[in-house]
Amino acid sequence: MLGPLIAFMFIFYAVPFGNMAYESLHSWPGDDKPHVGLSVFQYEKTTQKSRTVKSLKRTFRISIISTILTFIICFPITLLLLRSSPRIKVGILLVTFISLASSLIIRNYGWLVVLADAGPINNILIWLKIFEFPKRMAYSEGAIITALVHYCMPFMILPIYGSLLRIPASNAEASLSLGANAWTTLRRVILPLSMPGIFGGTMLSFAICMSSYVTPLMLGSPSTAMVSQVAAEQIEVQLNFPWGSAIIITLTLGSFLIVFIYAALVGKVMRVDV
Amino acid sequence: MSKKNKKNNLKLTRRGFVKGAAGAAAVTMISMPWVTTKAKAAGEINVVLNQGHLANLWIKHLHEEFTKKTGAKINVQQSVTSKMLVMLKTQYDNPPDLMMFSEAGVHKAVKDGQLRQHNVKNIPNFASIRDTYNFANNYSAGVVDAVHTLFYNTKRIKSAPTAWADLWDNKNKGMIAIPPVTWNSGVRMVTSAAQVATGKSLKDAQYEWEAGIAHLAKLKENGVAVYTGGPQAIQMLQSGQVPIVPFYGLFINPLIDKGAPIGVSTHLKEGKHGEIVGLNMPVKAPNVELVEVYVNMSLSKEFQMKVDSILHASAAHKGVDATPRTKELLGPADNTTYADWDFLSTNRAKITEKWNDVFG
Amino acid sequence: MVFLVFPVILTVVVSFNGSQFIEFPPTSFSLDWYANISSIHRIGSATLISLGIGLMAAGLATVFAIGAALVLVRYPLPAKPVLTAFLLSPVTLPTVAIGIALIQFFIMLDVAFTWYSLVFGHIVLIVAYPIRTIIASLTLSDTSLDEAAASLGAGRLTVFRTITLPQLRPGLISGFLFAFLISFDNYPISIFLVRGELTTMPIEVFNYISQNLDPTPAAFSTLYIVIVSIVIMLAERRYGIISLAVGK
Repeated sequence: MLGPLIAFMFIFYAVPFGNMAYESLHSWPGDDKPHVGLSVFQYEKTTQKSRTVKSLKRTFRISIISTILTFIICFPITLLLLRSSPRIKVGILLVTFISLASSLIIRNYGWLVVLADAGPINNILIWLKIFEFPKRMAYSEGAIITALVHYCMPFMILPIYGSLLRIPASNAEASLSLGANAWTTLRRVILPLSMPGIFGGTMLSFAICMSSYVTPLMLGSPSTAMVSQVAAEQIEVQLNFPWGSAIIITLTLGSFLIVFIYAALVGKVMRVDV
Repeated sequence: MSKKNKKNNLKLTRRGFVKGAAGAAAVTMISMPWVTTKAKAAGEINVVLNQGHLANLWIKHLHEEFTKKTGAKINVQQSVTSKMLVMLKTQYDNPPDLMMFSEAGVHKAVKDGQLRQHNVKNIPNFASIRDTYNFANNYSAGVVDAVHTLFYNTKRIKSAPTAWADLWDNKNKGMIAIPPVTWNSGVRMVTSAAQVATGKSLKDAQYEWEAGIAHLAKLKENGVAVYTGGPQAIQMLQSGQVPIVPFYGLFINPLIDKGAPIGVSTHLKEGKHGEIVGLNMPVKAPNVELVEVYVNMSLSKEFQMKVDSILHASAAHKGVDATPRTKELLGPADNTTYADWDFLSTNRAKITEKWNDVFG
Repeated sequence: MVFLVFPVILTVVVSFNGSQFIEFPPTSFSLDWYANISSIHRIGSATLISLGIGLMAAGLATVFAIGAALVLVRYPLPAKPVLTAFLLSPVTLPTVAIGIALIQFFIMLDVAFTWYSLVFGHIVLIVAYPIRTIIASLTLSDTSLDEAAASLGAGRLTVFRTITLPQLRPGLISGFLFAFLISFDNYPISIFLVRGELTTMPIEVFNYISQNLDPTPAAFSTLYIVIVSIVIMLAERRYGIISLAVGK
């Protein structure tokens, strides 16, 4: 019963990845010093070429900023969800789900519309006489961060909400009755207890941002390229499979490593089971 | 209990319906020849056109007539030179019949043995094209000159720039843009930068591309915006967000005609960029006779006149004289310079890498 | 929340604007862009292909997931956490990695750029969703009913069909729905696996956006969002999938 799926995943998932890793250890005809046999040349190249190094740093930076922003926006929303009536609850969740289900390309296009030269933001700025001509907002790092936050919101709201649901209401009541104000209750009772959800949400959002491809492709410029884009470039335009494979494997491993360290840290510091 | 059973049955049929639909879809898909990219039996050709206005001109003004004349259907795709070169490599055994890309790609493709020579005996109109348009010894049928120059937003900039060097002028800070290196015009920007940096003419400067890129890097201090797409650049220009943008005339000229607040630099000190776009056949193109008809129609006087009157671009046909409006928008022909694309395309990977180091 | 819906609302409004450029506030009203949707290169066949691929991939993934979930939840297995992690892991990887790995693999096997290779590629990514939702459904289900039915003489298949399956209904439907939506919308895997006539809806819409500046994609987006919203609201009303996902 489990067999077919395991077999399928082995053939179409494990094997291709193994093959890609193997490929990444080879050289490409266009390389400066083509070599025979296996070597880590492509990985060295990844750490040496400025384009890949810059894009790795940039991807990390954008992911961190987006994740933090997403958390700041979403945590209040989840608290709101907790307090609201069932109808509003379902309403908010429905909107979240529809947002999830809308094609990513469509959502990013929506941001192109908002940030367009003749779009609402530029028009307001011009109307307020802050600028005389439209400002370039789309095709920049800011646009990418905005769209990524937008994309990650459902992935942050749902886990945190799930966690909050499991905190018995009596905890908050007890805290308040012992003389703590709402802010202290939030800080010392609710926040720590919702850590599993917060951890899940931030980790998921971070992973999504690190892997993003369509969003920087639609809303960025050559100077904002993220690692997935650089890897795809090598495969599609240069047909440099070894290097492209090495780049994307570097991203994957790097992402995993960061998440792993994050999990370990959170586990140690918060002494919670994540 | 019976009510629950009823509901269960309904649910099962609904899922069953979905599964059945999937099954039906599977059967239809297996029977449909959606998989193959080989052109089906004669009666169809696969054509890859240069995206945007060029493709639209052919689609609107030639495709219908072609189908009427030959009865063959045209499967059209739109793409850019660099992607088409990749197609030639990956689809060597099973290529499209015809690809429209410029001299920037033709020399390399010929060197790599990926194109076939046109049999000019079967293409009567070939004899009527100007010499510059037969730039690759019959391997490419030049159909239009895609001139690339500076355009500016007339609401924000009062007088036309007179030199590529104006991009480095401090008074234009934050108001300039350049194309990406993936575009052929992006590579020409490197040659122009080399001209500005070394003071030499294009003939010599184009080989000093490293100096060109180093000089191009200085534009970052001048607040340059690098655009990644045609629509982007046109919007920037049209709205005045970035008022000085290098672009291909045949995309902008129709907009100017429609009243957009855009002006053109018809004369640039270092020379406007000329780029001949041609129709090229992959070596293993399956439908040679049909393609020859297509090429012949593209080189006919009637069609070439549309190239001039609609795109305001320089036509290939000797008998087509530029209309006054086209002359106005194009400026003096001797100000248009052509590069050594043989050299540039051989070194393109290196140029791309260096450029990415600066702007990536 | 306003932040979440702002772009969508704007897209809808812009799709009705007469101007050739994207602008807001709109200056005129026009339905031209809806008519122009057909000019998106190959949009008809691309949408059909996406639909077909999505239904097949989601259908197969759900079937695979039922078997897997049943075993993972109800039977003792030594390597369970590892296996579960393995099956769910594609979602945590950069989707581009899956695309790059698969195209190299398919080229090696000489089956690249076929529609079935696209289906298989999508299954790898989407199978995690039905697995998760069906496991959620299973853990909520009542095994005592199964045992009762079995003790009354029902064979294993009958027990499965009449007792287990109905209880899995929300998990099945929501898993299938998610799997389908992810496949339908997918770009990073599809872009590597398609060529020529084999193309998908997201790819053609994206191409149109990169080559044109008119609001036709806004019209297309509006239609898409309306259809998806209706489907999700129907699913929620009938099967309460949202409540399931949140664990009310």
